[in-house]
Amino acid sequence: MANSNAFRRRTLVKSAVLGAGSTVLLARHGRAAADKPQYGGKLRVAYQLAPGALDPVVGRSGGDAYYWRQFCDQLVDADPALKPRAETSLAESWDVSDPKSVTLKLRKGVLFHDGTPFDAAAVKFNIERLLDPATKATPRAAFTAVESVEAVDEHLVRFRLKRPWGSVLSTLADRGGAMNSPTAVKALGADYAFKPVSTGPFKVAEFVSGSHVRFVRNEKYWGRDGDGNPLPYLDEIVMNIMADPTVQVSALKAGDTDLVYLPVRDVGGFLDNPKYNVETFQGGGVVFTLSFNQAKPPMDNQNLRLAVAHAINPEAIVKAVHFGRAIVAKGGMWPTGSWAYDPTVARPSYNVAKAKALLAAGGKPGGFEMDALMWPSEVNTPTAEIVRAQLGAIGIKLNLKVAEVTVATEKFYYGQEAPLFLTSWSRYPEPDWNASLIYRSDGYYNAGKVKNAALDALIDEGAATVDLEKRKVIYRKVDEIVLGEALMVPEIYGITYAAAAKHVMGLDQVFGWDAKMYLHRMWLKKV
Amino acid sequence: MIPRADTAAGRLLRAPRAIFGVAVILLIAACALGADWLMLFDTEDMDFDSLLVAASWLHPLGTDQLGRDTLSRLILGSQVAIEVSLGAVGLGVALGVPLGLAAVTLGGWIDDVIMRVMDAVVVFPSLLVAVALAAAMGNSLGTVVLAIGVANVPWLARLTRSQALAVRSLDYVAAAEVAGTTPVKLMLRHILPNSLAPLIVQSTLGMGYAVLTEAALGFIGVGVQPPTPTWGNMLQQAFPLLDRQPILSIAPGVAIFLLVLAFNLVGDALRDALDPRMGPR
Repeated sequence: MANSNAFRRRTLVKSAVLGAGSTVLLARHGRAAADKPQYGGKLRVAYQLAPGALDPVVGRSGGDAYYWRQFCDQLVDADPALKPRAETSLAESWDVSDPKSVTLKLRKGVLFHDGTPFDAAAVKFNIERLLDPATKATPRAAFTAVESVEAVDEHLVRFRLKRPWGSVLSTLADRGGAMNSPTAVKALGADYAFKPVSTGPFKVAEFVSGSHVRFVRNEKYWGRDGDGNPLPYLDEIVMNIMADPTVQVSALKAGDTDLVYLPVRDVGGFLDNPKYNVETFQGGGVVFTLSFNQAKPPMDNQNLRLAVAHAINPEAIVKAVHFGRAIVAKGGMWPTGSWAYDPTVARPSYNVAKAKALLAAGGKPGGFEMDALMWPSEVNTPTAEIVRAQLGAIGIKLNLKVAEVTVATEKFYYGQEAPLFLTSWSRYPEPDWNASLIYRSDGYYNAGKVKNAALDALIDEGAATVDLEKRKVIYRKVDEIVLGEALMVPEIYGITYAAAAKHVMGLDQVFGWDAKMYLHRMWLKKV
Repeated sequence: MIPRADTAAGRLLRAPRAIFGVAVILLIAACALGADWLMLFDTEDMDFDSLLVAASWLHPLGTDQLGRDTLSRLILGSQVAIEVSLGAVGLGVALGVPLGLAAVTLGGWIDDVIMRVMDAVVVFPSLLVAVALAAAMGNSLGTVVLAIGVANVPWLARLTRSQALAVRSLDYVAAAEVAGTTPVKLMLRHILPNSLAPLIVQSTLGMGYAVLTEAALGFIGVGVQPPTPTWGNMLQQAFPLLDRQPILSIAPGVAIFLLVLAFNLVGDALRDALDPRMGPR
């Protein structure tokens, strides 16, 4: 229970900070008094990816969260640093002190959009649906620690565990923690994928494949803002699918949309433009990482891997490719803004002399030639060109093998076709998700399936520990091994920018912990 | 007064548009051949202290996003343009002309089969064929040449066939046939040489089209891949930065425009010059 109390304390502090957030934003833009949120209106958002499905449990696209976050709550919600936040969660409190069970006390008076009551039986139904292999639930692997779910009483639910589950709270803040109406799931069957019924502040009103998704206000929503006013403020949200960022920016300028992600090349112009507000999220994801196959020569040689890492100057890439709007990755795969981030861990930094010495130590003083897989994009292509030139400077000739993103990923991790992959990684601030997938000897993204006993032990320990301070120490040790032996060397974290027309309010709360948009508290100022 | 030699070459070189076209083609071909001597910078030299700079004495066309000299990249890109135009048209001629001649010589159902296959190839836009080939075989110069070359084959085969059919019905061909000339010799000695004029025109225009298609493929990202500069992929990388450093887009754009225009002007002038009905002007 001590841990849970610690979480609650932190959340209270955090909520005080969040409450002050809107004032900070207004002060920054020179308005005198805090604006009182106004109800009504339609927010138009442009977004790049269509949903794989609207049902959060079965969708497989990285873009799904933009949709389901608007009409779902999670059992455990999290703040932008992925710390649990009780006041916006479906569970009022939780007890994770017993390694064999997790107990959640559920919020009372919550209804699904179809009127079905949200209670312990509904949670049991949802988790069992997710664990059933027939559902083909995307987050299923993250829930394998669960042995069974038990509805203790109407508002108390207990997960019996097969083994300790350290990442439980983060995991419940993602897809698997979103709750679907048991009535609707049973009634609709496979059709449920695009006709979801959940508990969140908006309801899905319309889905037009390849065009848009329209959400309307959930009149019966339980959530309240800091002043006790009912949420949400907006009547309607339309998310328009626009594949090209340039088109999105043009649509914003033309007044055809209200809110977009901003490509870094356009940020400068928008910051100077008084008609728009720009919100920043430091550390959107790992926008560039070196991923090595430790089993594939010449990258089976630790000295040569380190030589490659030391030859690369991420600052040059930040300057040229990201127009200075990105961050050199100093905390490995635990990015800025997450609780696990620790910039003091040693990383193989840019040092040509050291790179050359490591080449000699690795038995290739004159350099060597090797293949590197990459997938083309406005960011990846120039990045790969710089990497090729910088490795060329120490005598390593890189042959770039270009394939489309899913093909390149499969070729590297499954086909083992190259010793090096130049790629990017989504923002996964819960370290266990990445550690067990990339660094564990049986992880899918451990391309060479190379076993490192010390790493495996640390990863298992981290997965079984709940206390965040203890976990932070464990994952720092993981990073020391990963970066010290150059198993994977993240080079750059992105900065995510969103721009909105001036009358769109609540932009300071638009980013969730995964840098994805969270529109629960947006409102439109009538002009 | 210069004597007016009434030959095709003479007629061609009196047309100003042809002179302009030939001059542009020769200039770009010279750039491609002499790239090693003409480039002031290696195309992979990056100067991170001068990114996206405007034109200067050091960088007459400025630098790109990675601080590379645009002029040097443009010069190296001319190699790809010339290689693709020659390669794709060469492939089209090498396959299309024999197919067209075979259709005429063998006739009957073979003619039908060949021409229906050609029709089937025409159905697929060359860009689509190129995208599919690139997906199947990877992005390389060879794939691009193959894709554009294959797209050229049906047009050249059709043109060869129609020309050969027309020429074959002429009296001198009938005379040669009566004299006992073998079909192959008849085709190569008597029919083909007299069908060449439109093929030369079509090939020249095809070179312009090949340059344009290569640029389009590069622009959509399925052509020859960076770091090898091509005018198409230079344009692709420059386009998002259009409002920041316009010369970066203008330089490869103008290069593509000039070379395509040159091939078209020369092709046009050739058509006039090779037309026996035109006579002295």
